[in-house]
Amino acid sequence: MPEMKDFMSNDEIAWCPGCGDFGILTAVKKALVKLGKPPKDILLTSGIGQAAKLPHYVKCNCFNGLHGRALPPAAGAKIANHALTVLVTTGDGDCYGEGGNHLIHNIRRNLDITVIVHNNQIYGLTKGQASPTTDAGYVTRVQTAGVILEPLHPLEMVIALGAGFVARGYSADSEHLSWLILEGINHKGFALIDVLQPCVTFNKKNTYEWYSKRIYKVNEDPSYNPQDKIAAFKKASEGGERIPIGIIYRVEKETYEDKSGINKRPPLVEENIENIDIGAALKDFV
Amino acid sequence: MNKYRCLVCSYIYDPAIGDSTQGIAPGTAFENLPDTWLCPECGVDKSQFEKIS
Repeated sequence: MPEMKDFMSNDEIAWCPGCGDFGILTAVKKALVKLGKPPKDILLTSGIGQAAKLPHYVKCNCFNGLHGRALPPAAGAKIANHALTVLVTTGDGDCYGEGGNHLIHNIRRNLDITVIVHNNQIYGLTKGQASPTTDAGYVTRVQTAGVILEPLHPLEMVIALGAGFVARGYSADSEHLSWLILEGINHKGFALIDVLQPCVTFNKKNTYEWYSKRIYKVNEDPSYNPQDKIAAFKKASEGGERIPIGIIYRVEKETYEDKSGINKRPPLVEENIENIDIGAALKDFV
Repeated sequence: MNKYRCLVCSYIYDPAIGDSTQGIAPGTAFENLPDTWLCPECGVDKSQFEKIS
């Protein structure tokens, strides 16, 4: 069984002191320890942003690609090797902004991957511009009169799009967050965990103090049924003075692996390609 | 002596272990850490820790 030290990376961490990303990093490593698979069987993919640095800080397979493009390599890797545990670490800008189209269609695809969105409601890496989830009215160095657009509501959006596992965590509660991540990994299909995460440098509104006064754990209410889509949508709509965290929606659905049949065969990467003649196919291109 | 947990990253300061990264010897109580001591994981100061045991 792997231990915490097995996932320790030697890379120097380049986040601000007190950044919410640290709590997410702790939660990811705790979840991977509980998962029990060796680092060689785990892949983290990311795009660009502070969240996208996380795969460098975990010792396992890593693919750090283009801005907004954290999901395509995750999907490709999962199709080529369905035995791999694939996690995506992305931010509110990277996933809901630049990568929005990839998000929509990978929810449709329903591959068995887990997406962790570090949602600090700001573009941190590029020094504090409004992201898709920044609150209306929030003043930044670019939106000097305040953000004039309504924020995106990611959980409502992904429930409506048909994601089978939709959760929200909080970076300062790494024990609860690691449970959510493990549940997301063990869910067969596309899982999205939106993580509320203070940005101590550029978001002076949504602070640790601000969140700690508002969040509550939805799954502590035994009457809440995360399989009820309408109830989940209403729960995802809550905000302002009370913000639910936990598993908001969960339903099993047929995965891409099931529909395509790729999980009936050995992973593509294990197939013997020595005696395959692609000459006839290549002739079409010459 | 009590253990303390970082409220940001969940690092646990264990006085039995100390913190070799900042020259803190085993057996040093959290209360006796210098004010300049920072969480070795995420860099916050002592005010961001809570007592856990």
